[in-house]
Amino acid sequence: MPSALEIRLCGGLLALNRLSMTLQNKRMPVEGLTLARNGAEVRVTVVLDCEGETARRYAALLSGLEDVSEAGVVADLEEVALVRADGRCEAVSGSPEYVERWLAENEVEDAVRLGPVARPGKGAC
Amino acid sequence: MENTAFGIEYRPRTGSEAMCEALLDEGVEFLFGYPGGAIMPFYDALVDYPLKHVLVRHEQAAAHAADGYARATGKVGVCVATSGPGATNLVTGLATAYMDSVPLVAITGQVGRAAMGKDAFQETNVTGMTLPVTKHSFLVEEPEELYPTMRRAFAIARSGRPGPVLVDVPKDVQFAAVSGNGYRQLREAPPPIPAPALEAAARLIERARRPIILAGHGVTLSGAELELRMLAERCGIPVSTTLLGISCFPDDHPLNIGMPGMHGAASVNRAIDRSDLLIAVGMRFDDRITGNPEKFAPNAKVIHIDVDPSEMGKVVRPTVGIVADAKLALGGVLNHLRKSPECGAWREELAVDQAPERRKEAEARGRFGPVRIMEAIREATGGEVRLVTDVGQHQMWAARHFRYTRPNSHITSGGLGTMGFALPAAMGVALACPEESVWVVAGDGGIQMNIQELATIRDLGLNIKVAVINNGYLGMVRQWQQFFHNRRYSETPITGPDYETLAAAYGLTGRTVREGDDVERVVRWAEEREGFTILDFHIDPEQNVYPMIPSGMSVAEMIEEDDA
Repeated sequence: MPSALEIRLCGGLLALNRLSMTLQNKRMPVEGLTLARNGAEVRVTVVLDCEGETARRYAALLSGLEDVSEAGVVADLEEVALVRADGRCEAVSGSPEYVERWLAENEVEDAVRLGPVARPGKGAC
Repeated sequence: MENTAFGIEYRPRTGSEAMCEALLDEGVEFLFGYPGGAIMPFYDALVDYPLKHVLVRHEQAAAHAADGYARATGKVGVCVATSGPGATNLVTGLATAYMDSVPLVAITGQVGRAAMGKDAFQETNVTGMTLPVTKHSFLVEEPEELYPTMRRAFAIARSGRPGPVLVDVPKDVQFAAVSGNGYRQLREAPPPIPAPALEAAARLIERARRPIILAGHGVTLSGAELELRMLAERCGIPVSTTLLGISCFPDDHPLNIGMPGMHGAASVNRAIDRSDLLIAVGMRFDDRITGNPEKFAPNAKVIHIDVDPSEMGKVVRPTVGIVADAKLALGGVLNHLRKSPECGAWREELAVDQAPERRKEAEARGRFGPVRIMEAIREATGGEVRLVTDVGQHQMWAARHFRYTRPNSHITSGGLGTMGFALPAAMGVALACPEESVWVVAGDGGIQMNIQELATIRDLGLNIKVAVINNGYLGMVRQWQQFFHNRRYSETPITGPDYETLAAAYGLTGRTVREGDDVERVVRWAEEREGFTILDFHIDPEQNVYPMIPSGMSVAEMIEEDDA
């Protein structure tokens, strides 16, 4: 059962380097990683192939990094897909399962998926 | 610029001066380093400040010396190097400190900002390459950030679980004028320990019948030796110290049962196997202790005390986890204890199992070899010594057979296992504790890795004694080849210099000691003479360290001397 973490970073590219190095260095089972931002703060959502307890331990480890202002396990994920269909660009949003289903049921020329990310105001942080 | 009102010349502070002021404000006394092009402005400023710089002969030694200083004092060690190869030479030392949670600040020069990213002469991305082996790293690109960054680096290095922090400073930033400091505070203090966790730990201890305390480096780092002793004595619980925990609990205490793990005492490993409660304090269940974690301590509940929350459940899932400084946590547990566990029978059982090992050790003290050498050092120093060991067979002999009775008297590279650590680390120890006896125990492989530091030792007149346990092999690797590779000794026979002659070339003194020589007399001679002395003990080339649990195996697969 995958688990997701939301990590909020300050510190720019070096902070991101340190985070990705730590994910790799500690051999965290990363299935997906999405970057987003709110102002200067970078928000990283990491989907891990592990149980919740292990994910909480990884969150504790990541929260010890100096560039990480907050890190925690998230329950609610959101995904946005920018879809090109009939010559127009549209946005589809919802849970990752909903977006997956929508894309399967609709004919699209191309899609860019932004996420999954922690749902604003409902994440762990 | 001239201040026209008072006729006083006003010179703006430079980045380098701000760095020196930050070091002074942090109470730094010694820096260990090596100058070079990109760090020259800092070295220029250094002359005007009351900071003592130790010029090592290789940057790796600077990091190890700062590490030794930090381990001996509990303060933050500081090392300095230039950009490029100077910085990369620090990496092994940083990784050593990172693995053993030692607070260091490493200052590196960097090429000027305009040259960065252009493959300039002696440019390396040292912040990038040290990401996995530092607690944090800074590239200071604004002169105004220098002072606050330096202060923050120290705060990060010593806070929570200590570790190394790198501050990389471009040359033009060191030259630039700065004002103000704008020191930012670190995060808030950690929250208090939840009472339910302490309560649960206390109840587990009270109900245990076969408890063992596993004491690690965290006990020394937090200064929790007294609390550890109070818990052990109040409850009568046997204490086993990990490699880095050695000396946090006196070896001559009747409750000390010795070191666990791959080369730990067989009786300790068997005891852990039968234990019903492990109280793990400031240790991280290293693979050298657990072997196969699935088979480790199969009958035991576990109380795990560690300041690093990410250690909880990393290897062994605790029954009760307490994320806290060891001193606070042990004090809290003691306050919640209502009675002591009934474990007298357990102590008697352990004593019976230990008896044959103690007889063998006593016999070994009478024969020429590492056990006798350890005993001779102990007798000559009266136990009043800081023993700094390198990595390999001798490290295990020193861990197992030297009797440590003073807190923090055993210093070694545990997690990374860095050969070449001991000699430079001892320089830091000797500078930190000038009135104390400092002995290095090293193999003939490791001692050659930083042997150039004899020049530094001579220059400083350091009173360090070295015992080279010389078997003409990279002994631990040879032992593994003997056990697991059918005695094919591939590239493990190793030669070395005549250490007497080598020492003389550096203006120092040495002696060669062979079987038949009076070990006690020569060790006493070395201890009593003022100044550096190296003793080269030629021991049985194929002497092994027993017992041994093969990597990833369990106590059931332990190789004991009688089986080999």
